Amino acid sequence: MKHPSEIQLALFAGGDLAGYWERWRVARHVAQCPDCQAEVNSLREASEQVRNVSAELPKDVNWNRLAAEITGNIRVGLAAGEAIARFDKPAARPLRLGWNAALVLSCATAVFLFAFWISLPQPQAEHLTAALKRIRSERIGSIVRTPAASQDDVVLEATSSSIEVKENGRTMSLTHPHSDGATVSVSLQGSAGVRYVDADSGQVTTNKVYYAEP
Amino acid sequence: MSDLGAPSELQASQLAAQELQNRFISDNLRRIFLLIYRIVGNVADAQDLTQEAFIKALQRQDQLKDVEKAAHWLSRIASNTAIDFLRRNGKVNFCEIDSLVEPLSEPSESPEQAVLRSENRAYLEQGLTVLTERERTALLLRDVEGLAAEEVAEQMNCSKATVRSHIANARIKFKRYVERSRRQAGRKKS
Repeated sequence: MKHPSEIQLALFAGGDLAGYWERWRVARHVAQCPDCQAEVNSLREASEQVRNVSAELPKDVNWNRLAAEITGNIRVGLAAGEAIARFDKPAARPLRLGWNAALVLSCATAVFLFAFWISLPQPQAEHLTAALKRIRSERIGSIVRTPAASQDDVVLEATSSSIEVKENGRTMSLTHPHSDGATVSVSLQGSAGVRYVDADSGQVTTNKVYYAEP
Repeated sequence: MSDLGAPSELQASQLAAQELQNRFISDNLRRIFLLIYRIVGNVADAQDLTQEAFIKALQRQDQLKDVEKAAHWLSRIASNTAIDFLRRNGKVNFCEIDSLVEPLSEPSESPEQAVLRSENRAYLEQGLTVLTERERTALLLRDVEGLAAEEVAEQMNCSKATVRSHIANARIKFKRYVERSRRQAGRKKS
């Protein structure tokens, strides 16, 4: 009868033998062989002794003192970890400062505008109000009265093809050849202009119309 | 009017968390210290590594999915911490296999002296030192911590076959050590 190797018995004793058939073969042999049975029992006893000896504290160790020291150091380590985490965390802080700065700047701007508005003389304030209303309703490249403007109002309009003055239902147009490179400009003081380049001759022409209060 | 002497809800929850943490430490401290001590073999390193293992575990407690397995989870962190320490400092390669040498090296303390001083335990404890670090680590994780050989292999970053070899060698060496100590003690008595 061939005995299993010492390694096989050591693995079998702890239930670590790999492979179903090998386990079955060794188990069958051990059940019939007193020598191998004794060997397995010795191995199991040795494992039990390892467990027992591992549960004992080393010699000359004052466990109460050591445990108190370890526990204290764990608490210090955890507190230090939390402090480091708090120190590392505020990545979002600059953003918060930015929002605060924006809020302060907005308030300061609002106060400045309010002070500027109330310090303006009456005619300039009215002129500014009218200009702001025109800006609100203007199309790009043109000065247009609001839709509510009456027939009596004067409209000065500049497009890439003409400059028109409309008053009392009549229109005066200053037309110019269509050009891709036409630059249309308007000013809040009541003027409109078009600057264009003749494609054939390369000549630059500037038309400007000023509106003067009667 | 609020009672100024009573702790707020936040303080109460912090106290409860602190209490849980203290209990977790005291319930597991001795076991974890011993596990690490048996792996690294000296008290000073075991103390540092025990602290490190607990700090790691408590800082990552949100990763623990099953509270019932907290002790097992802590053991894993502790053994990993000890294994990493041996790798860093001792340059131990856990995946090399040691041969079964016979005879074993002589212990510094004879069994007779140990028996005379009623310190059979100390003699057995010394038996663990006849094992190599890889054999001792594998044996402790398997036979003391009760991890499956597959889990031991995972922790030691070795193949299952290598770990089985470490476990078998460790069991055989320790058994021979115990038998020899008994033979010598028997001879002395007679």
